[in-house]
Amino acid sequence: MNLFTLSWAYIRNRKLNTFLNTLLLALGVGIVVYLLVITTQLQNKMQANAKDINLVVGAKGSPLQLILCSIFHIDNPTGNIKLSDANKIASNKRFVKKAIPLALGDSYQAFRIVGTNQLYPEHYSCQLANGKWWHNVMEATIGSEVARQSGLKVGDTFHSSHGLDGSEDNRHEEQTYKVVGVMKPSETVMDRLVLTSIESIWAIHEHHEAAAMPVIPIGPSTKHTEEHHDTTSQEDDREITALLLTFSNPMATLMMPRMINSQSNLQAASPAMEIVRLFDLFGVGADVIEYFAYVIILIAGLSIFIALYNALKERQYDLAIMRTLGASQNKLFTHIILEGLLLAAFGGICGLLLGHGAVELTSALLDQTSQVSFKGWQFLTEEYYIFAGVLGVGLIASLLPALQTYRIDISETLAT
Amino acid sequence: MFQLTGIRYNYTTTHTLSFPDWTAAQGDRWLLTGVSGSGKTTLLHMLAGLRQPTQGTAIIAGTNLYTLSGNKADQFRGQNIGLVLQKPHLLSVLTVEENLLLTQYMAGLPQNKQRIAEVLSILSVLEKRKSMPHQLSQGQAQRISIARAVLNLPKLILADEPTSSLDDVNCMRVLDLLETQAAACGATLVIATHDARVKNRIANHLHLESVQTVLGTL
Repeated sequence: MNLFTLSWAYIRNRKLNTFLNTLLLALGVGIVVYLLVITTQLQNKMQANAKDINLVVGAKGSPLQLILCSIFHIDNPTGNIKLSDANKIASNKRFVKKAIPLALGDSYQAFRIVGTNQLYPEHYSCQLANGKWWHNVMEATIGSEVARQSGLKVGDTFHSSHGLDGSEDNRHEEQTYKVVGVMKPSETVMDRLVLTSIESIWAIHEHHEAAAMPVIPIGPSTKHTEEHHDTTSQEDDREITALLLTFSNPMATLMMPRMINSQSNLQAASPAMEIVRLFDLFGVGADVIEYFAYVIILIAGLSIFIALYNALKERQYDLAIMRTLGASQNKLFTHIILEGLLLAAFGGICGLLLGHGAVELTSALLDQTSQVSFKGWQFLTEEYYIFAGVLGVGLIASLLPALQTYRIDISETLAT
Repeated sequence: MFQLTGIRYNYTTTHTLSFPDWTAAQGDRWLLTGVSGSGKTTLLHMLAGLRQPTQGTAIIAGTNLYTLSGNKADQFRGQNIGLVLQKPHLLSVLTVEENLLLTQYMAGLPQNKQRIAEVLSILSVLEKRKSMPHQLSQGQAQRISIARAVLNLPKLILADEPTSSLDDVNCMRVLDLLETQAAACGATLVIATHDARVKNRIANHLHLESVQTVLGTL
């Protein structure tokens, strides 16, 4: 027997009340934790995916769409840009450190197929789990998630389909991809991509000359650096979807977007700016829900206060008895405070579990259909503060009832 | 064992009770009688340190009770004084055994389930150890409250109308228990009562006169 077990006995005795308090607190804390974990993981993931990419060049349209499409691969392209235009930008040695071309449009089982060069996986420090990087036309190196979910292994072949929804209706039956490598998990968007050469994408869409297609170098530092004289004439008709740029010079941040946007058929979008804009957009909704959650927590605190305050009248005799048994006034004070803290802690723990459970559930529901995934059991330091705040609510809620114990006249109480 | 001198208690500025000086030896049994309103309960509570008199001193087991600080007085009461009230009033959220563990804990004494079992079996309610108070009969509950009063081997047992709500059989049984338990731990026993059934059993009486009102300043 100690003050903990004593307080716990009273909490246990008020089952319905305790249930209500716990439910309210758990709900409030759960929502706050859920929003916190989701936005933090989303932001971290987005930042990891956008890392060091200063600018995305693509066809005119919504800049947010261009970013969502080219960096996170969760939207459709705004259109295509001419390879010659892209090459012009990529060869701007003064500003451009690295230029990664992307050719999008096809997918396999809802996993996007990206025509690109070796710089792309290198940018995310991807490594091979087995096999090799793609080299020839219609070779593909696949991400770890793609391999896990589709069951593709090195040596397997597959057909791509048009679009991003993975439907079988728009299958490109004429051309067959061959898996030559599987990447190690990198916790980036790479895990969910099928990488191939740009020539493969071209080959599928202009299949009549695919086999004869020469390898075209794009950007200043691709691996295929040999020049092919006979290709210059063809370059004008060739198109890619977007170009990811890293700058070599801070001046570029000012100069490049203006330079690119002045060309009528191109637009430049900054991932950093668009991510901020995106979070501003759905941040408003999240804020409203979060304030709502704080109101619930406040009501939970009020509910704890009312429970303790009301119980105090019934417990006056119990408390007087404890005094006759030798309990000091401070001990009774601590006893009531402890009850508030225990209730708050119990509700808080349930809330943490609820929030993380909801994240895990969200992740399980999203996993099959989306590029986004969450980790439910990853805890953040902010949650300590939330928990401390909840204990604070319990403390404040029990303070007044606890102070009331000092005013109990034992002799009067026992005499009635 | 205890010695009360010059005890006066002001209810209001015009309504004052003054009590006779009273001395008892260790192991004595006393009956405190008087009509309702004569201050039996007030005196008993002052003897237990639950209420401070306006004037006067109480030396209990060699300790000057009213000079102790709050916490010290609480601890002294927990360790030296056992209280039996008119109604048993066990804590309803705890089992019988937990109620008694609480009695040891609140007095700042080590918790000893063996001692609890011993007392409960003497009072023949051992089988109720794990029961909740609402599962007990009135007689059983009163016996548990006696167990609570004697558990810490107090030097002084104070009983306030312990028999008034009991039938004759239970009344005698409770008195037997109080007397034997007080004797077993060598405690001084004081029973405040207006119950005529009790009067013949105990030799030492302190009779409080009816309301003593003193007007004006003293």
